Amino acid sequence: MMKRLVTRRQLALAALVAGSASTFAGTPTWFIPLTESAPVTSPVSAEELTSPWATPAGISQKNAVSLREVEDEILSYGQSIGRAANLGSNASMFDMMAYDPQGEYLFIPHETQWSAGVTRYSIYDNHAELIFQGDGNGESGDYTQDFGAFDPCRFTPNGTLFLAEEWAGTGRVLEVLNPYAPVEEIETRVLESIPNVSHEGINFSKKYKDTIYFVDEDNSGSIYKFVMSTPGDYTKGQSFVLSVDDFDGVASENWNSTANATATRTGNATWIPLTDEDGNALPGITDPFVDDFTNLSYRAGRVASDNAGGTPFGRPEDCAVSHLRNGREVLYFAATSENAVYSVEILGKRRVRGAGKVDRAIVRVFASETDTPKNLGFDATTATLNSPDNLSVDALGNVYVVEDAPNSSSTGGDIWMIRDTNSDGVAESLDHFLSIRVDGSEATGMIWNPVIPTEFAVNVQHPDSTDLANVPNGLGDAVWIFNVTNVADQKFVKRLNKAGKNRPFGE
Amino acid sequence: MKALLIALAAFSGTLALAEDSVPSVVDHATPERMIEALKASRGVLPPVPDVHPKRILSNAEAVVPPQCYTQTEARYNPCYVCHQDPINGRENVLGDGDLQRDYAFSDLGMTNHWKNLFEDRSERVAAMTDEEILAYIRQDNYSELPGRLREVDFDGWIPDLADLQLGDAAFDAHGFARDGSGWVAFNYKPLPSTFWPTNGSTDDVMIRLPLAYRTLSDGSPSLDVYRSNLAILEAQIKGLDSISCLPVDEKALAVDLDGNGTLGTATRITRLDSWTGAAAGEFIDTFLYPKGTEFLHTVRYVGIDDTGKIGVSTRMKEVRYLRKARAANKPVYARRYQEEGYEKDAGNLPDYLGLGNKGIDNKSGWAVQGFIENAEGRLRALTFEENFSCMSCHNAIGSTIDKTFAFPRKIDGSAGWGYINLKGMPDAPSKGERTGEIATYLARVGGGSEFRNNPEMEDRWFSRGRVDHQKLASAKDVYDLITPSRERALALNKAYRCIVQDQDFINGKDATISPPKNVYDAIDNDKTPTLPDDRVFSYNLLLEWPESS
Repeated sequence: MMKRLVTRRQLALAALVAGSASTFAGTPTWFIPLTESAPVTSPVSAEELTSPWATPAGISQKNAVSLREVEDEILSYGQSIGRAANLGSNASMFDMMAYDPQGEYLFIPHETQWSAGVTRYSIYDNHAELIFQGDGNGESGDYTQDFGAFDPCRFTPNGTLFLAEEWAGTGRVLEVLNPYAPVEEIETRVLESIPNVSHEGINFSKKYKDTIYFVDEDNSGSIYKFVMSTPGDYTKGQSFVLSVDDFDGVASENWNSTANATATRTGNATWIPLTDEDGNALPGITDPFVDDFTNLSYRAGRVASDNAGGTPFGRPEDCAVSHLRNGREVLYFAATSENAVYSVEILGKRRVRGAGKVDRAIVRVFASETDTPKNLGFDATTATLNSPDNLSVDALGNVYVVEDAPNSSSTGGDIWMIRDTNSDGVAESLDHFLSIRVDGSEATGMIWNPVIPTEFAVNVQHPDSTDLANVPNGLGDAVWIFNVTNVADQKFVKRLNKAGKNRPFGE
Repeated sequence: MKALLIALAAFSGTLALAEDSVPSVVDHATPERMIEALKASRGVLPPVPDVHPKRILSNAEAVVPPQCYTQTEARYNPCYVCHQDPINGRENVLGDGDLQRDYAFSDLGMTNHWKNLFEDRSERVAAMTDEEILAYIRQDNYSELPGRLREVDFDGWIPDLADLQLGDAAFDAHGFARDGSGWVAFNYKPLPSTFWPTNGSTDDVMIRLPLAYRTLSDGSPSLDVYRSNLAILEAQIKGLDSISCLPVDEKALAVDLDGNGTLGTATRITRLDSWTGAAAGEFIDTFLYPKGTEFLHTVRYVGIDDTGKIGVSTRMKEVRYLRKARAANKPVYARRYQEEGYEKDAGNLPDYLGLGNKGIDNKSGWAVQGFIENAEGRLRALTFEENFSCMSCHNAIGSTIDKTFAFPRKIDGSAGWGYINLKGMPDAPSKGERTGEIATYLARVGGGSEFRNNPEMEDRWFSRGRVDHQKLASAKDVYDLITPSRERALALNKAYRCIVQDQDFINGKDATISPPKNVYDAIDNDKTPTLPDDRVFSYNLLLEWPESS
């Protein structure tokens, strides 16, 4: 009997491990990769209006919402969408969208220099509403009631919505407390508990209910985490910055400065506290929570990180959370200027001789232009990994990276799948997935649907056609929804659908 | 039968003169096919490629102009005029002063694509008679342009300044256009040294402020409003605390502009913190033009009158137009420069938004548009790639003020309103320096042009390879310093005429007769000699004009 029981437990554990591995290990490449980047086409070309991306076979794309549609008062009566004054093709800047957990809404942040806000788009009602926007005084330098460059947007486990300022404003995190409410009832608050940096990626741990990860988009930017004093309370907690143990460069300098160019920035790392558990800056550390309305380039969190020895990376952009095959949590972040994506394996607190318990991690280069093969096992591509930016993870744990900019003036930017079939945090291949062909634009905000695992959404950001003075009736910034159901690899589709049933959030 | 043939011929002639309202499309377009199509084209609209024009750029690094390939030989520095570190308070924070020391070109930029520099036009120049070129440059190719553009429903800017081909005759004594169009000519010192007449071109520049800056709050036109706003703008662009102005009736504006406590006639403005008239509430800041500001710049041949005096020609090489379509504050510009830096660091080539017939967006709010001669010498709109090269000077360098050159270099205050006139103009030093800007340039560059290929300037102002200050002292004014002899002017005009016939402006527009020696056909970022620290110079585009000027 005992023997049988043990065997059952062993079998259950084995099944759990196997299930976990199959859920979070990456898969083989499930599409035939592209072999070149797409050439750009003229504004309002047929390609922009019907299929802005070159895709592998079997992937469909359809327009969900666009500036053109919402701003048509007859077609979209009573609807609204973010458009800031006097910013030309940068007037709306759809950025890193968030699905709500039911997959019914897309929240679209506007990364505009002033009048940053968020539009709530109801997918099934095809209805868009601008639910929050700053007062626009940022145009004259006054951000006290305005916000700039909302880049990240994250639906929280509390059912609220995070927005955060990147390169404009003062580097604040804004929480929309009731994102489903009627527009006139929307409530917000600034979270003064999270350090001011150039927020690009902000994400919740899936393993630690008290932890939020975020990054600082700067050429001397670092990786941070915020640990809540009470899980679920975002207003109080302790902030940390990641420091690679063997980093012997200068924390305050750019990642590629003379002092840092040859410094080690991978390997064992430690989360260094910037504050105590109540959020008070530690001795020798600059107060990381300063909204400096007079010096808008100041990011207090960055200075605090420099004080603490945070390792600098080349413009950390989006971050994504997943698990490795060993079951540990992994934080991926894209380092745009380095043409690389890093993985940070979260080890948790480990006892270190002479130092007690230390919060540890391992930093690895997940994929890079210089070291990762492309289209391994498939026809080669002429494209390069150029300015990796937004990250997305499908239900099977495959990571996708969206490039920041077109490869050149005539060639569109790409989206790559980072193939890591053994899920060890170091990719085997970069597989050329999509390529945008809308002049002047970049792709942003790729995110997989939390309910329909075969669907994902991507934005066309700042195309020429957003500037109506130049392109009358232009389509403008737009959200496109892709579906992979009809790819040849139906085994993948089945696995994706199956894995998606257990997946709590789109990523 | 003969009468019928004559009638048919006359009819077909009429057809030939009619403008095509739709540009011809070049199939399977390549840069070479585009040039061939341009040579054959007679319309005011140039042919267009059958693909997005960005896809057939012959030189996607056209923002690196020919001058950047000068052989500096670790001594001669023409680079400082464009490449400078930021100056406090200005919107231009590109900070490219390091490019005096370092080539830092992209892989593509390391090859000199300006092939026209290497073309020997000696025989073609010799085959052209003086009478022929003189007759050519004395023809008016401007007056017909607006009509031709209207004929094709051109939706870009259509030249609207009457009689500009006549030069100063189109303006009153204070530079205001006689046709009431609102254009105002100003007297400025040409930037060293491509725009010196001795190097092949003459030019003029006009400014026009938007209607609100020319009218009272009730919408009625007001010369007092316009004069005061032009002066306020000039002070802002130059960062001055006060500025002399053409007489302004303060009572008409109900503003004490000179701060003397009474409303009278102001000839100096000290109250510079806001505009006057209908624009009173508009955004104002130092070193920035208001939204809607327009510049008109004509580039011309080196004109020679019957007395041998050098001046603007009637014929225009180019008509260039800038319009500030979008205003922005300094943080916006700072972000644009930051993004541009990111793009360059990432190895991306420069990218600009085409605006169709409205030109190209320089990413900093200015729409840049232009017209250039077709093979017959009639003006036509620029192609995308021809327009693209404008971005080098009007976006991609650190010394400009809100992307402009001429207006910051206007003679200060009331004395500087009027058509350009190099006669009597002193060689004002660059701001913060004491020696004349031209004299300084000659010494730093070691010649009379970026390429040190102007033997006449060397004969005039150099002795044994060094600037001869005694000779320079004999020059009465800027005119004496930078205008060529009749012979040189004719030769340069002929050389440029060859480029017009070839329609290969995308390969360079420098009026060279034979290939200059001091230019690289390729750069190696690591091996090509660069300038040492003691040959790197700070420079301010602004000038120290003497009070008397």
